[in-house]
Amino acid sequence: MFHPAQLAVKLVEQAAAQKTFSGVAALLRTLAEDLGADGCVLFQLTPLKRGQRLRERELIATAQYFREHEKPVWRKLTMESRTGANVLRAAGAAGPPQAARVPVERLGSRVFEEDSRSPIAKELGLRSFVSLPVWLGSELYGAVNLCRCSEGELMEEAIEAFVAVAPMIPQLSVNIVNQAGFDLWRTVGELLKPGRRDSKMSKTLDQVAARVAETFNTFESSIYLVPSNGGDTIHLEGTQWPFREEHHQRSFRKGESLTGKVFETKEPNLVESLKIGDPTFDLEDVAGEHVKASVEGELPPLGWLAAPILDGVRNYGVLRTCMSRTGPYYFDKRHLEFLVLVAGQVGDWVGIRRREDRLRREAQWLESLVKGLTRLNQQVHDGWNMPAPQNYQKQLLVSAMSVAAEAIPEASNLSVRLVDPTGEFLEIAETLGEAWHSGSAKEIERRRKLRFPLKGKDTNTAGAWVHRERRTLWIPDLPKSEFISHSFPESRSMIVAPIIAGEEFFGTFDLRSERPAAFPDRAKNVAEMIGRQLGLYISLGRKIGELSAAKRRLSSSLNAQSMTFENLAHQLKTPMFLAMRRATRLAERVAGRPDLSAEVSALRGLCRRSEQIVKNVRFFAEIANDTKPTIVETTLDRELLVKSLEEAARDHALLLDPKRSIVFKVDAESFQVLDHVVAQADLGLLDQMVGNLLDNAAKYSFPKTEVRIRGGLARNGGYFYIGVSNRGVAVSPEEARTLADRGQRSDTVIWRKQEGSGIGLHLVEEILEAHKGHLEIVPTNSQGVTEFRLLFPVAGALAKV
Amino acid sequence: MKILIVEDDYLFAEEMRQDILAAPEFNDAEVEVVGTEQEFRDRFEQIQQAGYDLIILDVMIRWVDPSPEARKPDADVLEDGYFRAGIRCLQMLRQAQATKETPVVIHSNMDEKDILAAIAMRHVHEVSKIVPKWNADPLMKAVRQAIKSA
Repeated sequence: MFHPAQLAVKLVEQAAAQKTFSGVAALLRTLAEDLGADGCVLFQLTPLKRGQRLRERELIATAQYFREHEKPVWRKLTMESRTGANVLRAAGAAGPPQAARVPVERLGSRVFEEDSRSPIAKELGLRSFVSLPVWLGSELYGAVNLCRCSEGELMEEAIEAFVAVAPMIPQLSVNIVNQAGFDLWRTVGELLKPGRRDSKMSKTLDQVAARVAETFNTFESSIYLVPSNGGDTIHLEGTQWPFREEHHQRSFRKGESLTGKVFETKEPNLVESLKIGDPTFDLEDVAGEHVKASVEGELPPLGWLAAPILDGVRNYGVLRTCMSRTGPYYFDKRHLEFLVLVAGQVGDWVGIRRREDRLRREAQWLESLVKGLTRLNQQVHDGWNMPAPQNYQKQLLVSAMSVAAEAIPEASNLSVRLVDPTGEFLEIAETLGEAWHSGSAKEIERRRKLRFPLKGKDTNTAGAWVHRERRTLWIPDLPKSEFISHSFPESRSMIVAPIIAGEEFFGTFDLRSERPAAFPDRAKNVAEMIGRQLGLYISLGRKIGELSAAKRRLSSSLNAQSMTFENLAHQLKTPMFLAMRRATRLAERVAGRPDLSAEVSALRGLCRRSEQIVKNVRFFAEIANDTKPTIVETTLDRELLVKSLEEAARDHALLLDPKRSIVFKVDAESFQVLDHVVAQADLGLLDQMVGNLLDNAAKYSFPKTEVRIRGGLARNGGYFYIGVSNRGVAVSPEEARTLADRGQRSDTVIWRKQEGSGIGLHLVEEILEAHKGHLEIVPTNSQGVTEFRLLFPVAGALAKV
Repeated sequence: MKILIVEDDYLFAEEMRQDILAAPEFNDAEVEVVGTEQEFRDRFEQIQQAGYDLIILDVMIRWVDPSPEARKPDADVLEDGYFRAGIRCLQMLRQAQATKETPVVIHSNMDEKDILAAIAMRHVHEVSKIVPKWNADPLMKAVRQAIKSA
């Protein structure tokens, strides 16, 4: 009927299925029910303390089963009890392998009823029981009691079977703890998998706490963490505690109560039994009342376990669990070891989360700072393009402070103080933050008008120090520093950064907080950077302002100069023109008198040269003032053009030293092209352009060479050109491209550096542009000939063609 | 009487030569013209030996007239530029034993104060007269004075 081997197999199978530390109760139930008993209890000996004798130890029920008694019935037995006495007898006997011979205490109902030392018997209506001391390896573990409350005695066969299998219970109990503990470790590992890190931190920690409470079979399981920025206080972050709302602000300082002590020492702690109301107990009475209400009776002493949450040496907080629901009421070191294991998992996870969060915050912070600075730079750029850049300074300062306020949320107010025009004081230019605008209107006004001396007496202020040292001042505890703020007594910490550009000091950028040591390390760097940015903006803004003013003055001066040149040239033009005409007429009259003829010719040449210069000056004055030259185009007549060119060539020849033997020649035949096409030009300006080209040719020709003037068609007949070619200073293809730029003369040819304003070709190009024509410079060819061509667009073909 | 004109404008040089020769006291004078700074330097030994009674110096003188054989300007010319050519010639004259006492008339379009500043920079102070180009009479007056005081 009672087959011990079958029962043993059943117990082993049951043990293998348990997932919580309270799973031992299931084995006890099987024992009781299969053996016709009403209850079964596993007692464990309390650990032997130093100097304690076995007789002084106690037996604690670590698991129990009683039919008809669903509520916890906790018991702690002294060694003077029947069970205790039986255990003492077992201790007196030799240990295993003789363990099988330990005495079995069998008590019938008669004897039991008389036993006044067993109140449990009365409470449960116990009639008889069998108590068997049990060993775990070579250690006396405690006892297993089989109880009967109903009528009749336990059967002998049942007792024999009980004696056979009960010694398995301690080992199976340990197996269940190990198995449940590793299952806890595995499932918590699943909860804290990297893939689940996106979930909300407190939610995950709640799940971990719930899993711990389930395994330990406890009412409460909580995780307390220190804030990301450190400190001496841990706060409730995750819990399975059903009264969370009432305890959500629960926190412990280092060393405060049991949990605070674990946080301080970083050592795991196990307390065997606690009572509600115990001053060292962490839970408030209200929680105790809830427990009382839920168990409806006497509360067992509460088991309490806590493990530090560590990541390496970094201390993040505490994982604790306490108050068993139905047993085990007593936890041992093995239970605590599993709690330490889980706390380690939580520590690793929190460490990774914190590092990730910190990196994410840092990245967000940096991104926000960069965006802010970019916005600020854009604003500066836009502002500088405004007509009056100084007007946007106020807006710029406010924007800079906004960027800083985003980057340093610890600052409750910010300000920019700038040096006043005398250089003697700092004045508040702009402020940002509530504290500046609080108080009465009078007080706000007083603050706005504050001035801080930089020189002379009473300069022991933060601003004066920064002005003197050109360094950032960081005051973590303002009231205790030498720079006590009388102007803003609510300030507790402060950073004052210089607004500088190079050696130039413009003012200070201030951060204040009503809290001491409010600012993180980066606040100083940000304040310094903003200070330097502002210094740069202010410095550049001022320089741009100066440049704008200089530009206006220069423009005005240029305009006046241009007007003067134009007026002078205009005034000179008439007498020069008349002088030229008279010289021409005179030359005709003295044609027969060689002595006078040479003088008159020279005079005429000089007049032409002067006229050329006057025309150049006048035209230059026009284009220098960004005025488009006005042209009056006339269709070019071949005969008139050739005659005019021959006169120009003759006049230029007269100005040259005869020793150089430079000949000017007009190729009249080449201009026959004008019989076939129509080209137009302003004759006065054409004369001026040809004069400039002849000047150049005369200047840069080698001795005994010819300057040739010819006409022709260029660019597929689209242009009529007048070309002036000479042999002399070479012009490379590269030079040909830039020679007409204003002020440009050849660099490779030394003598071009010698003289001249360098504007002649530039003027020619400007005039041609007004004609929709081009200046074409044909670089020096292998014969040493360079040609400068004036290109005029062909207006059309003549009918006779 | 030997007079040297250092002037790169052919018309001006010729004009001055005619003016000098037209004056009765100089109608038998030998008037020579040097047209560029390069020519002045090339002929400087000859200039020292020639024993001129007066040298008329323009200030802005081109280094050379273009020709295939033209030489690259000397380093000091490249550095100092075209605007100081006459002052460089003056310095050479004053540093040479044979010409350090020779009367020199500066004949230029430049402002007198600019010329004086350029001369001061060269530590050459002994100049007989500075005469503007745009009026011929002061030149002849200065020429007469310079020759007289020599």
